[in-house]
Amino acid sequence: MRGRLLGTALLALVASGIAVGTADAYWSAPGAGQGSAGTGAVGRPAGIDTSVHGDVAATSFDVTWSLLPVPEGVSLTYVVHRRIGATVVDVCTTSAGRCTLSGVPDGSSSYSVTARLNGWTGATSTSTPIKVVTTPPAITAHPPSSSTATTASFTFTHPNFGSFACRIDAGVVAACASPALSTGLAVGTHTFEVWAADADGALTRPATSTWTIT
Amino acid sequence: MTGRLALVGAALVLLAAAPAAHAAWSGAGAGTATAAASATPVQPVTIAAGTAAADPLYPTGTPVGDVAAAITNPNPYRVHVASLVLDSASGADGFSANAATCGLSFVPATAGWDIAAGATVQVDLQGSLAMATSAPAACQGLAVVVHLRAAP
Repeated sequence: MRGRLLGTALLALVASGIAVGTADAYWSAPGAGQGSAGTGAVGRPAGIDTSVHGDVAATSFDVTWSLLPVPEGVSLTYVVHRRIGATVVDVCTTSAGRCTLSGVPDGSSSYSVTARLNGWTGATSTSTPIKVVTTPPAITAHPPSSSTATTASFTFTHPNFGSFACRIDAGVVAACASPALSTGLAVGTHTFEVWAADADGALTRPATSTWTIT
Repeated sequence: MTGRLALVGAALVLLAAAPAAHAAWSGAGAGTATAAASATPVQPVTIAAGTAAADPLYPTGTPVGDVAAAITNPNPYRVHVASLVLDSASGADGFSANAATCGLSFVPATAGWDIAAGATVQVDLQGSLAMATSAPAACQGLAVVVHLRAAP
């Protein structure tokens, strides 16, 4: 009986020891005061660039920029604007740092990017201008519309580009230079096509010349 | 035997009660538990602007912003702050006047903090502050005061 009482007392001591630690951690205190917080701001995108530069024949290319740093859970929207002369149009909206544009019209254009978040709009960054030229080359010399010669010579120029690609009829498009000479042609109607090429190899619209060998 | 049992039982009751009272005194370090608990009430903690790095707030309508606070315990013993809630009776509905049009809201922080005697704890209440999606552009780049109250 005495042993059981001692055991019970020990259990009580252990339990009270646990109570000590628990009570010590939970002395609640009231209080009041001021914490601090800050609101963010939508900044100006940096590093705006285009995947082509200068005079180009391409009507599809990328505009890229660096994403602005924002906390987790915040996603900015980037709007890309195209300026041609005094006309500015929105051409792309994304949360990424890249837009692929297509169907870009001829002319000099620049691209700017603005970050937005609901009613907040940041400052705009603008790319250096690029000039899209899809105008075909000018064929300055070609065979008469009707000829007996089985060779043909063509000369051509382009105001913006010095590289060209040519083909006869449904042949393979291949690099060529002015003047371009074609030999061994068969009797019949033939078509010559020539494109100007920009520094990246993009082609303008073709110029065409058709004639008949009798 | 019955008398001995009664004595041992009373002793156990005292043993069980005494440590709990001792806990109240472990920080104060003097006196008896019962007397000290009633003679030395817990002094309120003070809350001030914190120095912890905090994520800024954006008009997302979700609690993505942080609040930094420094909680100081003036008592000579450790205390526990269970939670921090917005003191909406202070300032402009709990915030500084410069943010009155920003549609701010505060999510109570219930992590709980033990603060040693005379110590200051820097807390970064992550994801505790939200701004309405309709917040105007004028709400950019503000330093905002958040009035807080320590709740039991």
